[in-house]
Amino acid sequence: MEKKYIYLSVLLVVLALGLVILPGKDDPKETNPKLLLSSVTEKSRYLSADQITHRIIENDPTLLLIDLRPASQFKTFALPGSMNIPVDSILTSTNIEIFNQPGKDKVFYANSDLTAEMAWMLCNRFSLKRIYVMKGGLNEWFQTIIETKSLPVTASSADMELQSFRIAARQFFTGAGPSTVAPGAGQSSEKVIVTRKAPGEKSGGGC
Amino acid sequence: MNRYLKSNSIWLGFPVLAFVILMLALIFRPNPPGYRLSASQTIQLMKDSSMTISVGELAGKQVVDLRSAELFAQGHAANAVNIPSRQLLDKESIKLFNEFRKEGKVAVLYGNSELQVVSPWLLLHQLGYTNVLRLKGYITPENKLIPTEIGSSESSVLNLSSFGEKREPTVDPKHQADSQKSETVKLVKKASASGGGC
Repeated sequence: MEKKYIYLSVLLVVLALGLVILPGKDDPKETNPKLLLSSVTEKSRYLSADQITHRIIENDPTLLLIDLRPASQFKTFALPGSMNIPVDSILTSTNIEIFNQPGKDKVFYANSDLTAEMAWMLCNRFSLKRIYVMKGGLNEWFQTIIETKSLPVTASSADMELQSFRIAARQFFTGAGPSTVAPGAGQSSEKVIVTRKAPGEKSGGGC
Repeated sequence: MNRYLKSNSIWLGFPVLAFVILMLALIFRPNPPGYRLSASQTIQLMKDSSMTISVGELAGKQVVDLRSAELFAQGHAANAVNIPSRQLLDKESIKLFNEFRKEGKVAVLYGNSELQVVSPWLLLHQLGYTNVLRLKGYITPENKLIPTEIGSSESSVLNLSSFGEKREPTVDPKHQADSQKSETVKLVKKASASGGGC
């Protein structure tokens, strides 16, 4: 056998070995712990209840709310448009595909922000991008928007503006408010008294 | 061909050598201070309520303050050591955590809020420091350790009464039927002409 064939076969074997050893494309890429720590100290992942509310009302197509609570709590109440991914199943292959959706800001929330923070941490370890945490969670969102408190007369104009936004948002979410008609009000059983002429009664109209 | 290989053996040897070195480097690459917990183990840990400790149970534990050195200097919990979260994985900090582990000490992390502590705690656990707990509370600006309010914990405090019917996306069929029911009005033919008009 000619030597050139031997060289060629050795080269092919080495290349094949290389392909076996090189990490596959599907392997989850783990972030180095030090890099992960530096993103932990970076606070840009937090979105406030007001920011989220703005985006819900504007029907922001880039917003993808992820509710991490158990399904029973999600059924009782959840933010409009949110998707329920209980924290147990956060890293299943289907959910990883959801988190990898391009052009979407995935915002995690639970009752507070502790579970969402831990889930954010885990997703960042596996290099999933554009994951955010709703600061304060659903409890704070509820207090800020639904149970918004009236401001003193001396409040600054910026505060007043924020307050009026929150009141409008509350009306948006609850459908009830001082200036709007509650949903279903038109269908309520309001009694309209219809007075009819008795048959045979002559009208006394005319001049 | 043989003559070609012989005359260019050095130049041909370089790419082969580079390839072999690359392969060896990949095989024996140093692992970063690796994660000891898999994803599913981490999820189990996240739900483990025994990983938190209340303010009243701190006796005999090594308390670790994760706030900045400036805030620590202004006041801190008794016997606390300061490891600012930015320096959590610095050599000195790791050395300290290794010492705690060696001595069998339980380290309890606290900060300005429970939220500040959650990520450093989870990171340390994933790196194998299983003797680290987190405080179910925080330090106030007056340097007092107090428990986390219920609204800031994972318990639900929603009062859904303000939502009324909108909370239920489905329409009650009975209600719908009532609303769509039209009142039938009978046409009544007048018995005689009205006496109206001039």
